[in-house]
Amino acid sequence: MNHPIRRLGCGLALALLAAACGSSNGGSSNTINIDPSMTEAAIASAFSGAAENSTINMAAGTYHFTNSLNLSTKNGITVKGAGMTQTILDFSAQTGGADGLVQSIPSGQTVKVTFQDFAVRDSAGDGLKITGGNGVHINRVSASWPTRAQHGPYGIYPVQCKNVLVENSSADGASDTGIYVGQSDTIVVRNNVVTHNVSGIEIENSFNADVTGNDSNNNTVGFLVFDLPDLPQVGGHNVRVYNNQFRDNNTPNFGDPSGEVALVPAGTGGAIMANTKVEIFGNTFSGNTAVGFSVISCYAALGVQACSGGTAGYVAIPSQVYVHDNTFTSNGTDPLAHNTNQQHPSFQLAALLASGFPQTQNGPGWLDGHVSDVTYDGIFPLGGTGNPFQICAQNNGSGHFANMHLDQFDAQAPNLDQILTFDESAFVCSLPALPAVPVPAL
Amino acid sequence: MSWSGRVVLASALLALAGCGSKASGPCTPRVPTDDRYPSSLAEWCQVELDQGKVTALASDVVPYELTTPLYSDGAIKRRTVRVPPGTAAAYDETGPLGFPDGTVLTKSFGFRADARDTALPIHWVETRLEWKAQGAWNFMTYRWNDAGTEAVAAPGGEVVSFSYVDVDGVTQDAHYLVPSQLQCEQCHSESGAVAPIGPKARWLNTDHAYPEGTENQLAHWSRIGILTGAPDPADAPRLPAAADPDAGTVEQRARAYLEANCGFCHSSQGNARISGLYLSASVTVPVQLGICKRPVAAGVGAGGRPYDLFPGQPDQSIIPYRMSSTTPAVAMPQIGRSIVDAHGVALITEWISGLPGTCQ
Repeated sequence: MNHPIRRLGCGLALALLAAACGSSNGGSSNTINIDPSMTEAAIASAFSGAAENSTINMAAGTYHFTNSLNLSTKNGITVKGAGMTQTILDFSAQTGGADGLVQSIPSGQTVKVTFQDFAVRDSAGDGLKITGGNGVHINRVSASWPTRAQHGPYGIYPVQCKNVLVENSSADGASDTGIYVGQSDTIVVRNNVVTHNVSGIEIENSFNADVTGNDSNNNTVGFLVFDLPDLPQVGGHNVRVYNNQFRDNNTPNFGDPSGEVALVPAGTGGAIMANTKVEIFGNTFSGNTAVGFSVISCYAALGVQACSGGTAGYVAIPSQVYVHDNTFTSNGTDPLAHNTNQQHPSFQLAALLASGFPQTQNGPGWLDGHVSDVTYDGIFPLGGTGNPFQICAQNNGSGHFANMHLDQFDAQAPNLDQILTFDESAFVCSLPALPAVPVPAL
Repeated sequence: MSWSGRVVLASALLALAGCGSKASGPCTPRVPTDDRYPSSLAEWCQVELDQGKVTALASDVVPYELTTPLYSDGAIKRRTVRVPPGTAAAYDETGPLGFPDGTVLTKSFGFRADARDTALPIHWVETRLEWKAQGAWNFMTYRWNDAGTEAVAAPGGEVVSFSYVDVDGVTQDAHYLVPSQLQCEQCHSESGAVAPIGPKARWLNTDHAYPEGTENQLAHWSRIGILTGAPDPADAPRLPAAADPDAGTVEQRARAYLEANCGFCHSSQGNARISGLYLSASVTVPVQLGICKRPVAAGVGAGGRPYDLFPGQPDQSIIPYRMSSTTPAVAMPQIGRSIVDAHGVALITEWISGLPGTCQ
């Protein structure tokens, strides 16, 4: 048997010849050429040893990895392939490490990085993960799971980064989120295509984000803007989601039951949870069978205990959310249609929405035979009436607004049809436009 | 003999049985002044293999041990420290000791064919070095040849597959990771800037059998002049040996285990800082310790379990689930472990089982 270790050892010897008595940190900017004939060990050496401002050029072809591929954390590296369909990093045989291509920058450093023109496939965990970058440009990168049975959580995953631009990229099949930007600041996510993920795009616990020009279809949910408790960065704010397509996001939720996205019913166009100052405009929501768009608190999603205490500065209630000038078509027609697994957490909110259809003569129920296009949980923990948290919706075509008053919901005897209200008057309002996020200088 | 015989170790042991004598003569330990490293371990003049034992090459290369080591597929470990003559490390109560420039730490990793039989020779796989120069720490590992006569720098790392019989008599198939330089840094960024993890007062505060007799390590280091400012060992912090049931309560040993095996990444500045799960033994905020903390980015790593740590319910807790796995994207730590540490899992399970309270 030709044991893989023998081959690894051979590649290592070559790498050693190149690196013998080298410097661990120095080196000047240069170009490193990678091609598929090289061993994994030699490629891993090239990635881990890349010097400041160097460019790693990956020739067209398929590269097979058995371990995570870790990139040097030196400043200014560019990792560049021959195209999203030309240079394929294939992790289908991965047995070591957790994720695909990884850059883990120690805290306190300022490190720029560019990834462009390649695909990451079948990683055990996340496809492309960058922790702690400042000036992260991801352009024409694809992440997908064409053959692996159990898909990784995130496709493209910058976390705790500043100045992030993700564009012209794609993610397909992530078991949590296709393009996920977490705990970051100053973010542009534009002109990407995300399909067959649980969540297409998510901005989580982040500040100052623009999500625009994306096509998010056939996921469980088109997009999420979430703020979760108990993370180092909380208090998500200033997020604009505009001029995107969120259509036919009806893939049954296949997220691990313990994750937050596992709560989202299939057929959701988009949702925000917690956060302050969010503007949703110019988007098209179509064919999402559970609900077009929802604004909810942490309490409605995770329960009171999980949302209380935690990291200082966490605010469980969404506020200053402005939903305007969107187009809603054929959403909310049947919340249970693609949520048939009663054991999966996503069933609960689907059943909740379904209970809003008129069941008795006592309550109003959803109007016009579908879940309203803009739904709000209406949870005011300190009491109050009207619209204390400034949730505004207007000029959304024929889309209805509904206040679900979930503080009165009875999970034992679902009664949404009796508690929801359609009195829009308090919610037809406008808020100042949020500032555009400057496209990071990269 | 229960070797699978399929890879390196069997032939290496034969080679060791045949030779393995001292490879080099007297030398002077290298005092590094920058980040450069020689291609051969011998040029450092710190340790060599002599009759299958890791042996110091100079009298001021001092062996040391930690009360609770990181589990590395069950590897036997030998550590040394050397500070430049006339210098000393400054005592620190919480962080790594304040080693001076020119300090060299070594850590050698090896296995016996049957871990239960201490008469068997140890096959040494690698010797890792950390050295401090110009105020910064640097890392390189040196891979031993099968004969144990030479170790050469391996900046790109390697996965070494072999079988051995562990301390419980179970045959284990290891895919042992010789880390790349970058992988060294991933774990060694506990406080942001890369630094040693082990040599902290609370891990060193235990006895070591020196040739001249057994002595507390902090006391010994102070006595020979390589450590200044240390209090009496009785007044210095100490974390127990997690593996020793007599060394502390289940809680103390479990917290020691979690810090040694998880805390270097799961700290506020470490590589897993994004999770908000901090596992240093000094953490007191329940949710930071994982108690009733929902997973965020774990995906399949959560295994459908609701919380990182569910008091009284280890089967509903994610931490022991990830410790019990060798599947990539599930297994924790993410690198450096290809075998389940059954003793570690048992300790954490026992601790969680006895924790009071509940979630929700």
